[in-house]
Amino acid sequence: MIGLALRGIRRRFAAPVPREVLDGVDLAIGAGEFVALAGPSGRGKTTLLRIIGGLDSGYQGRIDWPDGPPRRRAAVFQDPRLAPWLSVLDNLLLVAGREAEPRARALLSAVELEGREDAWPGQLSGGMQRRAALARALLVEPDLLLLDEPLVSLDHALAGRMRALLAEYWQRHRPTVLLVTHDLREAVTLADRVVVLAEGAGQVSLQRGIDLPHPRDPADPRIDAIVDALLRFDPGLAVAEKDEGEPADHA
Amino acid sequence: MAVDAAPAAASGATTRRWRWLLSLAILAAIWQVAAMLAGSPVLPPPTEVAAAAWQHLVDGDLPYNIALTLARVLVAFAAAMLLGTAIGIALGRSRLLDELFDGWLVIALNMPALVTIVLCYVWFGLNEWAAVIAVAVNKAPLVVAITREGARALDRPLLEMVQLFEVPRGRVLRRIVLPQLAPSLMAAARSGLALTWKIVLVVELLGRPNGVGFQIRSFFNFFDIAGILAYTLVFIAVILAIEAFVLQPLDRAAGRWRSP
Repeated sequence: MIGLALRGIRRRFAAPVPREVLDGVDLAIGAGEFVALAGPSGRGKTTLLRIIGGLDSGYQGRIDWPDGPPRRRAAVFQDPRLAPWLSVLDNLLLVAGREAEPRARALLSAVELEGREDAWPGQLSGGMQRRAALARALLVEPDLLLLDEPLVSLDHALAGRMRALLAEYWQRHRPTVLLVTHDLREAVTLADRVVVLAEGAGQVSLQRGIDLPHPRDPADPRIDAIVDALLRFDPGLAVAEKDEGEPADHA
Repeated sequence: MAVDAAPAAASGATTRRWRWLLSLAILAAIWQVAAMLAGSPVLPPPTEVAAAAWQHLVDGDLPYNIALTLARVLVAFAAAMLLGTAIGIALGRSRLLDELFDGWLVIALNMPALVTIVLCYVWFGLNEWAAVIAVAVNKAPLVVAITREGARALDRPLLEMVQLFEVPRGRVLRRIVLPQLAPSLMAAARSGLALTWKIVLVVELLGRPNGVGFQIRSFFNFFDIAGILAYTLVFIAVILAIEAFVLQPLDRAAGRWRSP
């Protein structure tokens, strides 16, 4: 069953230098499928995510929703996008309404922010804000979940726990997920399918289904093998591991 | 650092308040001396003005007229804030509307208050509605101009976020748009309150049978300078009290998240 189908998506940016960021992307994503868009920055991953999320209408091409557009959308953006004048809890309730408070509190403790419900976002570290943004996205029980580097500034152990939370959430609720990540191992650990946009071409250059059973262990040698195979196909993917990623958050 | 700074700031505020009172006392003293030197009925000393204020208070005309004027100020002020904020947000968020109506706003901002008042009385009659509309119409353009600037500077990433999550419009207005406009709205409210009551006095002077403005005209007819000054000072005190006990606490509440 198809959730959405991208047909010939093109997006041109005029500044700083005119260029085709996306130049004919064709991609079908199944309803309830978990797809990872992997690769280094500058390949149009975020642009594609914004187009699917309805935030960028300057594209050419078509998006088809065979079962109709998603009823509830949610996203974790690259920056947390919390309103600084609302408490952490109120930031969550903003998207889901007052009656969602018990679930909001439960999700905040699931992302290890228990006791921070009444804090202002400005009092939290970057990593905590990002986890609040993750909780906010899961709170609306979306059927389309867009994730743009959601775990990037978390330290290793915390990122692992959040990844497990995300995997478990997806298994239980089965939203359609599009995850943008520069981290190939994260992509392979979480997704049904890894999609790579080609360097400079603005098109899908590689797709690889991942049919390992859940729950998956990132240290599984089979994941190593898939990551190695992806790297052999597109060595450019390895660069991402070094040049992206913000300073780790140790709070 | 922050812990040490707090008591220092508090004592600084106390010092400032005392200096403020002291400067008022100096002004009163200068006035007293000038009045004694002049020795003329057109410049009564502060003691005489205070006595006049007390007399008008006991007679009941001062509370009555001040209450009427204050009611007009508050209604006109509220109408101007509501109308001005709504139009300001619309102009700040839509380039088309802004281009269409920017010229109108410039005209409205430059319209002399006296012209609006006279036209309102001519068009709507010498009644309460005309008076309040005249004041609101005078005040609203400034609110529009200030909130338009605020609405232009709304945080784009947050607006995208609520768009993607399809947050209901009313909730976006209450929880995302208005909090960001709070500094603009406070600026508009503060400048607005002062402006509004000055215009209300003119409106009353020109076409109302009561209120502070009307009283001042009667005092003028009888050359009762003490009465004019007594009414004026009491009304200024009322406006300052609103500023101190309503607007400032509101401002602090709106900025709570900035200094956690």
